[in-house]
Amino acid sequence: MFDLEQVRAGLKANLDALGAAVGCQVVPYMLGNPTPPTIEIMGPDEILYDIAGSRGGDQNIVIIRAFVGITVDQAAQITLDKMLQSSGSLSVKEAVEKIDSNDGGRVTLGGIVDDLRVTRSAGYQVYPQPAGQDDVLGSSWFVEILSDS
Amino acid sequence: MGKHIIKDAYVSVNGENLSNRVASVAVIQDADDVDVSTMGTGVHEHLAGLRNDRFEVTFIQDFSDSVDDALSPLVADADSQPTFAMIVKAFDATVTTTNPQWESTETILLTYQPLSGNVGDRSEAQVTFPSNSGIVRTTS
Repeated sequence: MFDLEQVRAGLKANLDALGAAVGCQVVPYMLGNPTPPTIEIMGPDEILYDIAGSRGGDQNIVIIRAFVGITVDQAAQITLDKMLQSSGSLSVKEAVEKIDSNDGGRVTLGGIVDDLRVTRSAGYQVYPQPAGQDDVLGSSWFVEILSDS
Repeated sequence: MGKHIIKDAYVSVNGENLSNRVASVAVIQDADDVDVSTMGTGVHEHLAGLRNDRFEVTFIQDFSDSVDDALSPLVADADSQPTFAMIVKAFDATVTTTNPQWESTETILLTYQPLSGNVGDRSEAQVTFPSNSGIVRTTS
């Protein structure tokens, strides 16, 4: 059965190494006032129920969000560029799609989902901050997850 | 019982319940359209010719002891042409007047595409199961 709590933990586990390389925290839930650099598992963007009959499966789109640094910081932009790439040591897509199963090369997050794919990123995003603080630079990634119901 | 939304149809192939891997199903009861028009009537006249009943199913493909394991052995060729039972019901429940069943005991599988799709697509298999006998509808 699709368990969002387990999915959050699984995505976090796949991102932990990337987080360590970037020097940022990786958290399974949204933070109220995240201090960059931070990667958080935001939650479902869309859920398609009943992709197969008899409650045979659902398709979830889960959002991963990263806050990299203040917008005028060139180092933050360099880091974000690498995180947006489709592959590389700082690639969010490559980290999330790490194959952990010998069962046909699917990405199962330790057996809790059938397969997943990072389908797209929102690109450069500027997150406004309270008055007196610099805006934060980051992005969002959308992860399509297939699972039993 | 009135109008309904398809979400719990029952599909069994060769005795194996594959319902939870079915994305779409169609029961097609079809006869050849034989034109028996004659002079003077001004309209086409039709008679039913040979029947061409079949089931059309789109499966979410599953290589883990499910769809592919069930269908691959059934593919017919010149040396082996297995026929098998196929059952479809509107709901996965007892057959009644509000839950009819369509069955063929002589279904054959002539074409099977176990893997087909573009990068990023959900892996699906669209399969047509021709019937060598008329599909029978029952309500009990």
